[in-house]
Amino acid sequence: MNAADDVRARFDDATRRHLTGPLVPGVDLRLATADEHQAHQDALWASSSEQPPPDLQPLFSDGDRAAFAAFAAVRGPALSHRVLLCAGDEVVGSYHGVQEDHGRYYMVNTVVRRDVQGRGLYRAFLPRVVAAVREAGFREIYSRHRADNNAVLVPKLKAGFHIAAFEVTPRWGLLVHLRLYLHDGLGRLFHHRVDGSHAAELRAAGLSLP
Amino acid sequence: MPPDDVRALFDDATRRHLLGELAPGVAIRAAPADEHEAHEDRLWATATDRRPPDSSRLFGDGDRARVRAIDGLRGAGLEHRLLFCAGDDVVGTFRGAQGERGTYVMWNTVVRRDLQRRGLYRAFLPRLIAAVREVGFREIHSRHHADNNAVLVPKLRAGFVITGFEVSPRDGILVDLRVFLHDGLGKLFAHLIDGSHAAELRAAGVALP
Repeated sequence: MNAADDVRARFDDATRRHLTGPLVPGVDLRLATADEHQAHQDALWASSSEQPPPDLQPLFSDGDRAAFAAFAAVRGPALSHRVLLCAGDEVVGSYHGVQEDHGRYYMVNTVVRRDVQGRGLYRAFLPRVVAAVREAGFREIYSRHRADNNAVLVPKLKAGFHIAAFEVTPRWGLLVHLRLYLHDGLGRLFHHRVDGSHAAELRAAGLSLP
Repeated sequence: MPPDDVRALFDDATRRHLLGELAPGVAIRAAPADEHEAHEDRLWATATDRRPPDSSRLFGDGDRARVRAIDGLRGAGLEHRLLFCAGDDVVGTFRGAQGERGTYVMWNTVVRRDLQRRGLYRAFLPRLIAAVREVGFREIHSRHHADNNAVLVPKLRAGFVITGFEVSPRDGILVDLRVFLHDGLGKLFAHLIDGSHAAELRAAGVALP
């Protein structure tokens, strides 16, 4: 088995152990193909309380779309999670997360049907994602949220994520970036950047700080 | 478009816009990763007194190997590694690469201290934008120390806009800059700032609130 196979096996194993099976009583997690996931996600957007973003596709020509697809093909597929939250035969939520560069994992989106929101599904789901991603060997998890989406910001901040950035995007407007460092040293360096703490430990670890 | 065609388009745009004379006495040439990195390291040592801490010291061998393996799963992206040469002397370096979702990231540009503020960066920027635009990227993204006016000013003059702020463990407080290479995206960004372009965007089919 080569290094790439090892990484995939470790990722798949962590996914199976943390992101499949019972989530809360009556709701299970199962993995889905990209097409199946997308179909459910689109349906769930329509019934969730979150305002879906404007569809930008009308702005792009066929040529634009082809170029975009071509860039993705240059690099090949990334590690990704496409997970469905199922209450019996019904899909009541979906989750998508994906590998990015530099050991970073991006929680792209989670959508939960409106009538099952506020019942702790996301709070129960979050530590499972963190466990799967940590075990797969990533250094950092990040996500982007509407700046007024307290329903997601609060559980994530409670779970140890930190506000790391603000961004204005054409599609989503004002976003807050949340990050969770899965490597202690990086977490300490982040705190050091915020308030100067941990300087002695970081110097002892070999960092030359001003 | 097959990946090989995208690479050919990228290489062609690089040759036409980025290689050759940049300013009188300074030419640009492409370099392999090792050569580029050696020059970049050497130039960092003299280009600034404020190098970021070497955060790689935080990581053990196992951690480095694991992240290298994870990153290695995805094939190499499109990338520029360029040297600015005054005769035989390498006086500057540039590295930029394909990012996520149709974005091109300008990772860093280093110019030897005695050649800074002579217009090299100002001359380079429009050439890079032309090359990246021609390949079909939707936007160029870069991050800078919030007090690095020497770079922020020429970029803002070249049409980049401030799109975010970030706290980075390695680099501290950063400003995110972007230039949108697709008109519609640029208009939508401006719309989110001040409500402009609403009629054009609706006419193009974007459902705005």
